[in-house]
Amino acid sequence: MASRGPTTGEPIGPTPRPKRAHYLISFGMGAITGTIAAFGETLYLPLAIPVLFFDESLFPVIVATAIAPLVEEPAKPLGLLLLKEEERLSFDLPSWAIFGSLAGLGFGFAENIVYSLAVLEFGVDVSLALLLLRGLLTAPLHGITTTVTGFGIGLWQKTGNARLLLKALVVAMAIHGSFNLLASLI
Amino acid sequence: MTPSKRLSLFRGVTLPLSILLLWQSLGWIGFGLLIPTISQRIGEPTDSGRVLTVAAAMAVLTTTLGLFALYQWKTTSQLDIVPKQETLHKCLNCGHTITTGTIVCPYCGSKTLF
Repeated sequence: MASRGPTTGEPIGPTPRPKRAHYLISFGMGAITGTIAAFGETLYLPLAIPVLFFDESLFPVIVATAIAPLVEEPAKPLGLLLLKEEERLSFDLPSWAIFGSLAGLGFGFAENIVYSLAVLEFGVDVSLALLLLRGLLTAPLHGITTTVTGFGIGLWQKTGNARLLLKALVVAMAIHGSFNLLASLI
Repeated sequence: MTPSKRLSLFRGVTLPLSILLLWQSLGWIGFGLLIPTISQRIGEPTDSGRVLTVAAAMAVLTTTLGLFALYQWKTTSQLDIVPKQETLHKCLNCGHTITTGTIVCPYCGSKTLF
C-alpha cells in the first residue's frame, strides 16, 4: 500500500509517472462528457431562459458565450478530478496539463462526431467537411481550455489551494466564451 | 558551460498549448476556405469577405501565440512546487495540537491519530 501524508492523505515520496490508463481515463471521461453535452444542450438551455424576456435574438449568443462555457468547462476535467480526488494520485504540473489537453480533445472529438452526424441530411461531403473543420478548430479549442483547467488542478494538488483551480476555470471559461462570441458574430 | 535556463511555473502548459494553438491555426485557414461553401450548402450564406478577414487574423494570432509558447518551452525549465510539510496537526481523538510524526497523543494517549 502506498504511504500517505499524515494530515492530508496525499501520497508522499517521489512523484509517480502517469500510466497509459491515466491518459485513457482523462480522454475517455472527456469524450463521455462531450457526447452528453452535444446531445444534451437542452439540459442547460433553460438556464438562459430569462434572456428571452429581454431580447429573443440575444438568446443563442448568451447560450454560446456564457452558458455553454459555464456548464462545459467544469464538466470536461471530470476524469482528472477522478484521478486526483478518488484515486488520490499525485503527478507533476506538466502531466496534469497533458491530462487536461487529452480530456479537452476527447470532449471536442466526441462533440464533433455528433454535430457532423446531425448535418448528414445536407450530404456526406458537408458532414465530412464540418467534421474536418471542427476537428481543426474546436477540438484544439477544447484542448486549450482544459489544458488550463488541468494545470489549475495540478496547482490545487501541489498547494492545497482550491482557489487556484477556480482561477484557472475562469480563464478557461473566458477563452471558451470569447471563441464562441467570435463564432456567433461571424 | 551553457547558462542555466530560466525557471517558469507555466512551462508545463507551454508545450501542449503550442501544439494546440498551431493546430488551431490550420483550423482558421480551413474556416476561411470552407465556411462560405458549407454555409451556402445548408442555406445560410455568410459574408465570405468578413469570414476570410477574421480567419486570416485569427490564423496569424494563433500561430504567433503558438510559436511564443514553443519558445517559452524551449527556453525555460519547470519550476515545481514543493508542498509544505505540516509540522503540527490536531489529534483526531481529543483535538489537541501535536507534532506530526507523534505515534501516541501525549494528551489523551490515543493511537488513532491518522
